[in-house]
Amino acid sequence: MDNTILEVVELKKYFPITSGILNRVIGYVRAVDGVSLRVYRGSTHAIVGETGCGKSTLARVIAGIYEPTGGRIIFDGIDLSNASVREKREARKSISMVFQDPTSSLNPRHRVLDIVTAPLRVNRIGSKPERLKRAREMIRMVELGDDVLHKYPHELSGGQRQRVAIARALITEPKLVILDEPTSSLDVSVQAKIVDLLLDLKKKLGLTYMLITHNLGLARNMATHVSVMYAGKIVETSPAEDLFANPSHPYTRALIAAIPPVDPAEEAIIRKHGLPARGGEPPSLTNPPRGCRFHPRCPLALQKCKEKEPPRVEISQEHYSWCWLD
Amino acid sequence: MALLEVRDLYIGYKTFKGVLDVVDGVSFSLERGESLALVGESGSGKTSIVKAILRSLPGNAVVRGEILFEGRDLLRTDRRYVSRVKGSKIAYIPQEPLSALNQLFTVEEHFIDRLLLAGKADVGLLGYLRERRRIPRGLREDMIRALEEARIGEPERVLSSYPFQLSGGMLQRVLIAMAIATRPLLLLADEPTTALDVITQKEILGLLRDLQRSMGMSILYVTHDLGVARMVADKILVLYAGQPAETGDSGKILDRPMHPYTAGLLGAIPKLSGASMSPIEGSLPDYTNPPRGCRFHPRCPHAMDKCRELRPPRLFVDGRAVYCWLYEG
Amino acid sequence: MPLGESVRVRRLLYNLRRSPTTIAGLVIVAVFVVMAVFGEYIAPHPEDAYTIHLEKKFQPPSLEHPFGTDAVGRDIFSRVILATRISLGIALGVVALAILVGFPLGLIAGYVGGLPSSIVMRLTDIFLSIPSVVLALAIAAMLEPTLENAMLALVVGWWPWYSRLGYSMAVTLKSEDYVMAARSYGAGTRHIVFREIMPNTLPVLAVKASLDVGYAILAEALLGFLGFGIKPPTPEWGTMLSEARIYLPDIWWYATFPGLAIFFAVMGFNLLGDGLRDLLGIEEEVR
Repeated sequence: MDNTILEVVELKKYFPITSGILNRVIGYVRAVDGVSLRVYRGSTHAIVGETGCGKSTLARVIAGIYEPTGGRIIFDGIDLSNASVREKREARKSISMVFQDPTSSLNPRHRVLDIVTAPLRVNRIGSKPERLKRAREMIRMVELGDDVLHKYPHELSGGQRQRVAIARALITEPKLVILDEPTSSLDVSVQAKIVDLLLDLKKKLGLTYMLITHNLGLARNMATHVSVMYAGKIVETSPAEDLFANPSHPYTRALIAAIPPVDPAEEAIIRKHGLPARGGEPPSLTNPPRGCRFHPRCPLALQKCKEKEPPRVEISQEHYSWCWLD
Repeated sequence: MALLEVRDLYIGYKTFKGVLDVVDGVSFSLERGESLALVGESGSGKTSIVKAILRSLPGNAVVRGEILFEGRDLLRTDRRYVSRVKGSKIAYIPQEPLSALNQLFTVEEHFIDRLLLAGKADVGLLGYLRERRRIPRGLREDMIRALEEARIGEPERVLSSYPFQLSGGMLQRVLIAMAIATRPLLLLADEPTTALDVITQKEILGLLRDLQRSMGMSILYVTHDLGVARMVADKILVLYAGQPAETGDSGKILDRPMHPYTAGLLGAIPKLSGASMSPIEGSLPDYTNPPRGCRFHPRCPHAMDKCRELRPPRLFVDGRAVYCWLYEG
Repeated sequence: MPLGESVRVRRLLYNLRRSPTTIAGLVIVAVFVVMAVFGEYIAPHPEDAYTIHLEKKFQPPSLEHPFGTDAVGRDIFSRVILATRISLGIALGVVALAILVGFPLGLIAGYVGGLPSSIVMRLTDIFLSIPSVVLALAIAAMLEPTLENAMLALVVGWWPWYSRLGYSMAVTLKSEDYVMAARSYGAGTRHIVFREIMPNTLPVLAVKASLDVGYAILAEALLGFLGFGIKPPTPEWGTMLSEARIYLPDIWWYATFPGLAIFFAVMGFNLLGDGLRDLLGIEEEVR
């Protein structure tokens, strides 16, 4: 238990849909609908899912951008839902986030120095010269030169911008860093460099990562633990090795089957574990299917799946799946 | 005669910084019923090539070379000929389905416009109004048939829907249906699955493959994803910074890459097998002052003196073509 | 100059050269600004702001008096130049004040949302439903006809437009990733609205402001024409027009030149505003 840095219990985030002049609420987008998971110190925990499954929203709730609608977030032993304002602020400083698109996550009107020192300024940490020193340290740590500090984002390449975003995230010495699709907006030849940098920094600074991605290959490469998310819920969670050796949930297997293989090694894995989904639309988050949310597209769906939500089943040590088939 | 033949294509853009040499001497051919993937990262010139074929490059573009479609050079023929050909013999599906459709009109209205104006040039406002008044009777059946061919389950419902009511995958199928309705000889697809989830992507790629076979349609597919290229195309042309790297059968190229860039790319992407991602050193060139010779030489682990001076010509090895001095002699 | 700025400036100049209308606007505005600042040194008869020469009244345009003289013998050319300071000054002052009052209000309301911002925006809507010039007239009529009150009247008519602009910009920009990022590291409303959002609204604001200066000049001239605000003998285009009206069409030069001054001033700012819109619209890097 002491090894757990973050525990999320039945976390919910609903966005109200309003209509009319008086903004009457007519429904909710259930972006995160009862997510529970545990992130261990020093791990890289990947949340894998496709666009619209709620993983970005989950990341943002944990990062403090949105207030949860329900459930609890326990960070470093402190329950954030009934913590004091000061405790919450301390927690905020220890959780950072790197966004998907470095072009939009850096204010185009600010210079790099301002961008990188903003978290310090906003939290009133350090004096101006101290902040400058720290900024220089961070810039060097992400393998950029000091000259970058006076530039504007549009003068930098995509890879450089993402490094700046990483520097900004690390400047408050966080314990947990949430990476929201950190390489998706980058060119292929740059992605590998950023991944290398992230893994390097993790070791150097003793960080814990929460990696949000739709790319199973990236999760395979970086993660120690994986949770698969579908329609606002976690459907399978496991240490990484185990998940890829023995994927259980039909959705996980559908994801594997859908990957376009680039070489025979990938093809072999896909053939072994992949189970193509039935045709269908991605689920609606306002009106999700009854029972197991994946049942309309699940090739192995039983009658039970259409009616009742599946319970958690233990597949092996630390490997759980939410499915009636087990 | 190949359906589409591009010869020595050069595309530059005039900007305040100077001229950006984005496409530098690309040649390829596409036979009838064949599919070719243009694979490259952003800035490799692949989208510019497609725009050149459609003659929809921006005003500051400078083009040299030839683009022969059915033997006629699209760059030098009358604009009206190109307009007639677009929408009837050549069809195009874009990356973002939502930006290609107007939210104020139903799918049916978009479709009617597409079919009425296909193969015509210089219609003008009056001509358009005239056409709309004389909608041929069988049009609705044609539309439904096209939607079914695109594997849309409830074509009637989709016809009367507005774009915002449909999912990304469904919209892309609608665009495909509209594209194939005129039985085009060539389909240009600009990364149409980028905005879609993996499962839908697989369905769309499968659909395109099947349409290629059943309709004998040629496909020119632009993508940065090697896996997608392998799945959808018979042949691949790998581009780096506007120059061709190698071309040939997709499976062969990916199983045994010859050009150092292709090998580097394969090494750098995350793979399900967990193989480590090894980055390609260096960064994309400055297009106002690109490297001499082979543009990849600053980043190439095997670069020789020759590479820095002379552009490698097309060399044929093993039934494939590679543009690299390593394969000389 | 740091590298980033020079790239932006170079691109701006490159695009500027390709837009003759913007250059024209810039030139016209520059001319008027020079006239406003250095009026006394340029005008051949600066004393004619106040002194009268009844013996020279109603002289048609000549070499000595390019725009002719008015009903009390004053050089119209000099008066038009001197009036620039008042007209331009009031117009710029009004727009600046309207921005200062309305814009931050709108920005905050747009970002914060909820009930208080709804109230503020409904209030804005009420003001917006009355045409600004009519409102300004009504207020000016109620108060003493001084320069300050004229400006006050105009500002009251103008601020809601900037409130609305700030609101819509804040609503649009609050879902930008850099705002989300700021929230993630604990930034409060003040930082986000003024340090993150506002700098990104400046181009749009600049365009609207330059177009509005043109309208403000017109509105101010209207007030002067109707007798509110500026008391004679202070030279001001609107009051000059109102004096000259009864002498048309015989003493045509009396009204024509102040009228032309208004026309060109407004046109200059309109061209500049339009040009800025085009220039800044494509300012962001298109890769």
